[in-house]
Amino acid sequence: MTVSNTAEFLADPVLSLLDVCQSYGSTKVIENLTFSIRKHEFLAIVGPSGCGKSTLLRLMAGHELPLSGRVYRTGKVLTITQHGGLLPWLTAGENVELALRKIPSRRERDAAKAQMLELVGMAGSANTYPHELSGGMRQRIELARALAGSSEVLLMDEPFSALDYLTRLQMRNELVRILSEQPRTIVFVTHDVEEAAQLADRVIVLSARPATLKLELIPGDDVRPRPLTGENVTGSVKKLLRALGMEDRS
Amino acid sequence: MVVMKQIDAGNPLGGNRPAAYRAGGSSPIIPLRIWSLVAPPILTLLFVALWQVLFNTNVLSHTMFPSPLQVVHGFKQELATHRLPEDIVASLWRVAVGFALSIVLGLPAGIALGSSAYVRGAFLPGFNFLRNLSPLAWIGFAIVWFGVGDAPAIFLIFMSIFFPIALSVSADVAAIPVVYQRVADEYGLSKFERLYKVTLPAIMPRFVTTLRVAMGVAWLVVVAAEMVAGHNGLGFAIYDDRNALRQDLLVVHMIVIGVIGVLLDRYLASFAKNPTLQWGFQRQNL
Repeated sequence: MTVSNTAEFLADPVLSLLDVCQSYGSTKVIENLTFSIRKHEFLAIVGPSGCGKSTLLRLMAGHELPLSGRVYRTGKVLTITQHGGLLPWLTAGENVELALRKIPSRRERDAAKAQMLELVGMAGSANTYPHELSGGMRQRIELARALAGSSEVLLMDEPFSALDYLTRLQMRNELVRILSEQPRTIVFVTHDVEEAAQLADRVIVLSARPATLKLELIPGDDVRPRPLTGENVTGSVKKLLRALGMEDRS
Repeated sequence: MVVMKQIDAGNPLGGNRPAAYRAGGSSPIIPLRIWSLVAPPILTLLFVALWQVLFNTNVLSHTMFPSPLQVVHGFKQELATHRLPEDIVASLWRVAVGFALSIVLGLPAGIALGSSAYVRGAFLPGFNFLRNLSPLAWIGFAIVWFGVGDAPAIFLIFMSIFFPIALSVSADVAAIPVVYQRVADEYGLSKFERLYKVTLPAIMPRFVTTLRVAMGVAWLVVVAAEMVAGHNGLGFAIYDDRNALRQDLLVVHMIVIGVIGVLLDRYLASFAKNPTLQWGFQRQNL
């Protein structure tokens, strides 16, 4: 476990922020944030509540322009949110099809849709509406749609925060499995330091508002999701909690 | 020894569950579905029986109000002369045309108002001004411009529901969650795709309610319009009954107007059962 050197990740970046600042009125939300994300990296971002993590994702997605600084993107960016971005009037299959609608052949489109639903373990739910699915199932469908969207970068804004603990553990395993089959660059915003330590190649800790880079951490180079009770996770959690100003009582 | 007790998770005050429960159990005495079917006819029969009793005992003056039997007799008379079906068709036709025109023009107007702050800034004050004018205030112009018949009634229906429909749609469009707009952005939906894949479906559950309210108003207005600018229709029939002092027929036409109003509302409410609209009627945090 080492604190990383940002420079090594600048070699093949798909998304970079350079001196990014953002304010709403007189409130500074982000101040001089600079970091890059390399291709197929899993970057977790943690920080105190209200520090500007969601603002940061909106800047990365291009939904907002920074007050100053630059955001560089090399490919398509899609977002998965905690509140669910599935269109509730479409079935699960139709939601996935939204990302595939440029494929002219109906047969190819159906095959791609079936493949994506199969990948996320939802092959039998193509004709089900989102309100008929559990929170975990909805997240799987949203993930299938994002993967079908052929984006290079997936921005995940606390995607599992609305799920119960056991489902979250299951979704962590599923996410790693899915990414092993369909590699993507992931920016994963979470409140859960354990989740970050289990899943991420690299974790960035933001300070309280205005958000600045407080710590960069590589939890380890072992196979993900790392064992919950393994040294890499427990050690990383301690470091992350300390960086977040939480007292370590263990 | 710890004794575990199973607790029923159902909330007797919530959802569709009726308040009536068997002691010690969670199943209702009469299922709500059956209760809703049985109770209204029973209450209606009780009401009619009470009405006849009040008439027979002279509590209701015979010159002030007809008896249920007189109303039934009047109903048969209206059917025999074919006047009632013709009046019903005439009124329904006017409502259908006025309602359809208001939707065809009100829906796009509402979407334009709800989508653009500039359009709202320019047109909203005028819409609010016209919305607040009673449709009956237009009667004088309606007769001068269109004479009597279908056109003035259709015009008055249009003037009474076009503006509320447009304003309601504009509020619904403005309230579409940002997350759906972002999905449209990120997946590269064209303006047309955004309209029929996001905007229209997103407002549909509320639009069904808007349509029900608008239909209720249209049905009220057609009666008023036919009273002053009609030569047939249920409103004109009521006007005619009043002039002829036929209180039995007055009640017949009032009952017909009420029943048709309820049936129209039931028909529009049935749209909510469409699977693509169900999400709008669920208490779920999507």
